[in-house]
Amino acid sequence: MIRLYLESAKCEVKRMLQYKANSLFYLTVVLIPPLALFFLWKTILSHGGSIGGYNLSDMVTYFIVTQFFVMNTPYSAWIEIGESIKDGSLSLWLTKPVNHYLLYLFRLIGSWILQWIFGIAGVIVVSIILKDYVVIPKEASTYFLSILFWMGGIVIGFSYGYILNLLSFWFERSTYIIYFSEGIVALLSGMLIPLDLLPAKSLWLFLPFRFCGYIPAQIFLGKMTGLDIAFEFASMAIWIFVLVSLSHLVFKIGSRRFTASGG
Amino acid sequence: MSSYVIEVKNLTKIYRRQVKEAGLIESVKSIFKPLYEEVEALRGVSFNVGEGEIVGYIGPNGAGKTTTLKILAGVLFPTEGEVKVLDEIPYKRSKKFLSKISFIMASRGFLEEVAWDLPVLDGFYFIKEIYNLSYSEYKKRVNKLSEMMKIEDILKSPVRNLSHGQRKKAEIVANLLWEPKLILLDEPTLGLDIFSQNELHNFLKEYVKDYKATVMLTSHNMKDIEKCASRVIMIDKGRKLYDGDIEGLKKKIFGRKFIKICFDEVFNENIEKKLLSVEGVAVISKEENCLTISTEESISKDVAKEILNKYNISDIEIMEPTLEEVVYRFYSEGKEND
Repeated sequence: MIRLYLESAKCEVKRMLQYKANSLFYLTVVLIPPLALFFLWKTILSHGGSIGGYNLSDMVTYFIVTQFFVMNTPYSAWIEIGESIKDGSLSLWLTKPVNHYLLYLFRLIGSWILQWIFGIAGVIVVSIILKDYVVIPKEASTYFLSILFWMGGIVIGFSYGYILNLLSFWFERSTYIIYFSEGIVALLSGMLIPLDLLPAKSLWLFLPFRFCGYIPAQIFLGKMTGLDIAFEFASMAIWIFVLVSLSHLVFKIGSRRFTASGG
Repeated sequence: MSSYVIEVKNLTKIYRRQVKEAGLIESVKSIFKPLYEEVEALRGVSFNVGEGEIVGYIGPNGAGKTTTLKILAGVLFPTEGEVKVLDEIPYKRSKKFLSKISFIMASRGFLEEVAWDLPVLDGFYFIKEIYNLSYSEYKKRVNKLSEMMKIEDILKSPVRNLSHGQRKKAEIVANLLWEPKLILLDEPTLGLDIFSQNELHNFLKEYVKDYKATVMLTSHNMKDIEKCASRVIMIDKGRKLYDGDIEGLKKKIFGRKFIKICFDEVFNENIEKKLLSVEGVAVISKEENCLTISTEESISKDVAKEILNKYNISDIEIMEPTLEEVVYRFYSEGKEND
């Protein structure tokens, strides 16, 4: 059965290959923000000190990693999911023996693979430019764990965006809710500032969005012990279970309200 | 196990839709106090369809045709009534049920959704994975159906580069690759030229014969119904008005035949008056030296004989009303009676 979802991802990869120039352009999107943040934090930490335990190297590495992870986490899912509810094209999938959630998760991953490849290339280029300021972990397990948590973050981000899109079953347009929540997630994932530097940090460190950027970055920087990682892993598994179950429940209830407009 | 493929009993579907007066103030008002109206798309419709039948489901715009198909496909939940398709309740959307049906929509295509920028074959391959077909079976079906539908030469073209007709044909083949037991077809010939329409009619009949499938099709093109369907169900305003064969419908509505007479010279009013004096004869149309009259079916032969004996005619033809004429009359009379 997994072959069906892999095929849906493959179709998206093939489709994106038709528009490879877009993905190439994405390289500039990956390059510019970390460079801009580097100059900002270099000015703030010019005296050579640190903020909340982050020195300049930590900050630069943190932002390179979180920018890549968060910008490549589909927390707004696909607007197409909500649009298909409004315009009735959801009918195409309701009449096929497929799991709608998995189908869109894999389609989305397929459509982002090229972007990820260019994103990694961008991270390497930025790391070379800022080589004197970047923390490069030596252990392979650090990379593995960061990527593992980032993948969990993808499922969490996707589920969140998926549920927001499903609000189209109830509201005329959920697009604005999605745009609004994008800003919230950017903040709560730690993309703009490390979460432990925010006030009321225990709340932000409870929410699932931390797995989209903050936690993988902390692991990458070597700021978490084995026990912390195990605790976060268990927490991530619970959040994934809750959000995936909620996605299915909302889809089940919402699809009863589906009016399938148009022919 | 039921002997019917489709069983529909007292099916009712009521939608709630938002209504809004025109204007800015009304738009602002609707934010705080939205108004809704209830639309009865279907009102107590009942019918059964047996295996191998091709049923034409017809009615004017907004009659409830597509709503019925969507309920049968499991897309919509019925408000009231019972629906069983292939012994399953459609809206439960079990994998077993969805693997046995195909719903081909009028305006939205599966290939357009998944393979717009990709070759048709990529879209077909995706179907293969959805329905878990073996490669050899998939290959065999693609070859056979593509040949039947005459689309072999477009299989490697991206869907976006195809004409409307080619896309429609590819879409139909894509939706039959898993050999569904029930095909729900919504406006299959919409936007197709007459050649493509004919190909589609022949394909459909051949497919049903070969695969013992059941088809329920809606169309505003009465040729689709006349050429493919053995039975017709007519609905209007959510109610069933007729269920039976096409001949029965013609008899019920008309019970008459048309006679087209072409005279050697331009006919005069005296001829028309004499013809009209025969009981049960009515003039349908006049054009230069030709006249079309309608007669009761029982006397049509006698009237034709009399015309042949009395007048100098160059041609005479006894015709049956087309389904289009029957349907038009059926619904226009219904409107007058409203």
